[in-house]
Parts: sequence; C-alpha cells; structure tokens
Amino acid sequence: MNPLDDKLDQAIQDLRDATGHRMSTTRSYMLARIRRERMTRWGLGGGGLALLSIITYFIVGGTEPPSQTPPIENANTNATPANSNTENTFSKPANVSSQTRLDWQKRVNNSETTEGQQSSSSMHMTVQGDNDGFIAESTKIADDAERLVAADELVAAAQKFRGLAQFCEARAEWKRAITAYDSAMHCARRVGDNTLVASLTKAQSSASKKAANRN
Amino acid sequence: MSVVYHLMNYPSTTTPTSKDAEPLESVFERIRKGDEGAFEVFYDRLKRPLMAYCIAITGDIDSAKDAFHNTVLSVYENRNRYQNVNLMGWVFTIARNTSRNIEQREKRRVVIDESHLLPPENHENLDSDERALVQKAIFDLADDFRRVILLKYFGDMSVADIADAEDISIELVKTRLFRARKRLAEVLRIHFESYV
Repeated sequence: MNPLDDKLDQAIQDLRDATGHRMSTTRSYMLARIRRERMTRWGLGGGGLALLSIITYFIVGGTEPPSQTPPIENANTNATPANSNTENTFSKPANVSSQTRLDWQKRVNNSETTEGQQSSSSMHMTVQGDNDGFIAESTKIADDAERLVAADELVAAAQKFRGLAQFCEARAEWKRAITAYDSAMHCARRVGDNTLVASLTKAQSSASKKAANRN
Repeated sequence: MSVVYHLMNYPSTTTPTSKDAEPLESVFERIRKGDEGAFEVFYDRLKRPLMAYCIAITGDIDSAKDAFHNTVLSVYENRNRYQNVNLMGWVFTIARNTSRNIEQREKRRVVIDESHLLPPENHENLDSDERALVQKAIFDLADDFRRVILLKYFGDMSVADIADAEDISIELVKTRLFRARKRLAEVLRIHFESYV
C-alpha cells in the first residue's frame, strides 16, 4: 500500500485513539444519568443530598456539621448495577436545592450577612461581619457550582469549583482552596477527565505548599 | 501512486445514518420518551461525527473532548426543545456553539506545534514525525475544509449527512471535499516526494 496513504490513515487513527476513551466515558456517564433519572422519577435516590451537603459544608468552612450528615457510604449504595463500571455520579434528589440552601442560610446568618437568597448580585455587596465580601462571594460561587452538580453538568461544575479555589487562594484562605480543589477533582473524576484531574492536582499541591509556607 | 489520486478516490465508508438503519429522527423520538436503548443507538451513530466536529472547530484534542462531552449533555438536556426540522443540523449547531464557547474560553486556536500532536499507538513501521506532519496538514486547512475532511474521514459521515450537519448543499460539500483533498495532497506531496 502507498506509504502516503498509510500516513493519512494513521493520522486519522491517532485522533481516534486519543479520543476513544472520552467517547466511552461520556457514553457510560450519560447512560448512568438516564437510569438515575428514571429512578428519581420513581422516587429513588438520595445519596446526592448528603454528598452535596458535605461539599457545601467544606467549601464554606462552617464550624458546625450540615443538618443532615448521613455517612458518605450511603451515596455509594445508591449506585445502580449499571453504574458499576463507572464512578458513582451525583444523585439528584428532589429536595437537594432547598436543603443545601438552608445550610447556606444558616452559615451566612451566623456570619451576620444579609445574603439569604441566590442571586446574581454584585460581589461587592457589603455585609455585616464580612467586610470584604469574601463569605458572600464564595457562597455564591459554591451555590453556582452546586447548581451545576445538581444539573449533572460536572465539567462546568469542576471549572466552577476551580474558580472558587482560585478565589480562596487570592484571599489566602488555603483550607477552603484545598477543599474546593477536592470538589473540582471529584467532579472531574466523575466524567473521566484525567487531564483536568492532573491539572487540579497540581494546583492543589501548589496551594498546599503555600499554606505550609505561611505556617 | 500519487497522493492526489488516493485522496480523490478515498473509499466511502458505511455511515452511521445509512438507509438500512432506523432513521435518526425516529431514534431521537424514542429518546424523548425515555428509551435508554435508543440513546445508545443515537450515541453510537453520532459519537465520531460529533468528536470530529469538535476537533475541527476547537483545533485542540483536550478542548474537543470537553466540547464533545458538553455537546452530548446539551443535546440530551434540550431534547424536548427540538422542533423536528433538521435533526443533524440541530445537533451540530449545538456542537458548533459549544465548541466555539470552549475555544474562546481557552483562548487558543489551531494547534500548530508538535506538543499537541498525538503519539502513535502500537503501529508498525511508524515515523512519528511524518504522522505528526499529516495531522498538522489537516489542522492547517481552512476551517470549512478541515470540518468536512474530519467529518468525512474521522466521522465516517456521508456527503448527505455532512450537508445536513453543516446546513449546506450536497454540491457544496463535494466542492469543499474536493478542494480540501487537493490542498492536503499538495502539502503532503511537497513533504513526501521521496516516497513517490
């Protein structure tokens, strides 16, 4: 066969090899989501509530546990047999938004903030006890990220959590930044984006070193 | 045998939407009704064309992967908004918009340097520099040409399906394919003259 023909075939094959895993991962992810939605319609699935509550707690860095803290293992027991080959994805319980919003409400009220609802208000909102608006803004970003998680937009959620981590780093809030990176990696692993996971791992490691140097 | 001859006579392949299979519109209608098996059929038919399209627009493998995943999600999430006009056009419009959003977000365009080109995997008699050069030639094509080439050879799409996806006439697809092949042949012939 003409070697030039070989090279054209091989170039296309290289592209297929490089993208095959993502196509496979996305397929598994979507099928898991369709099955989960079917289960949700039948009133099943609730592990995501616990998972989202825990993520929210760590992101905002509250000193008290969320209202409901069932063991993380409960989230795994909600995996369907079809999910066994894919990493467990977030479930989508009907009341997740209201519950996690109550958690935020409690925390922001403890910070004496007037931010009680999700809104697109300016990050420069002045709140009592949160003079530079960090708590309000980080809550808003975490809120957005969790909406994306609840909507199964995990790639966008990972990016949002990364943005939150960078925001926390800029404020030298290292613990929150590291935890936000954890959440971002969690989302990235769910969709099998190893490149993003590697990037986030590197960024988190850098944040950890900066935190250690400050101490 | 010249490269031009080969490219002009590249064999057509069985397309995911061949006439023997259930029409894609019908499959999509079953997805709307919650048929998981229908989604598998739909996905398996369109995964390569969609990935090809995302690669063509973003010009970068990593960005294309993100765009592909987000496109599939968007198609599924908006399945009830489709208005039964041109399914392929609708799906590829989503792919185009998603890819462009990611491309703008990443703030980089066509991959030119070798660091983005792919290492060969388990192929014999392989010259990685030459394979990289061929990939570069594909990515160096003008946007319209690159899309049809990748949809045709990576996505295994028929001319008719490419026309639907791009919302252009079949004749225009053929013209673009002809010119793209000719351009690739010229570029590759310059570099591979010694192989002729």
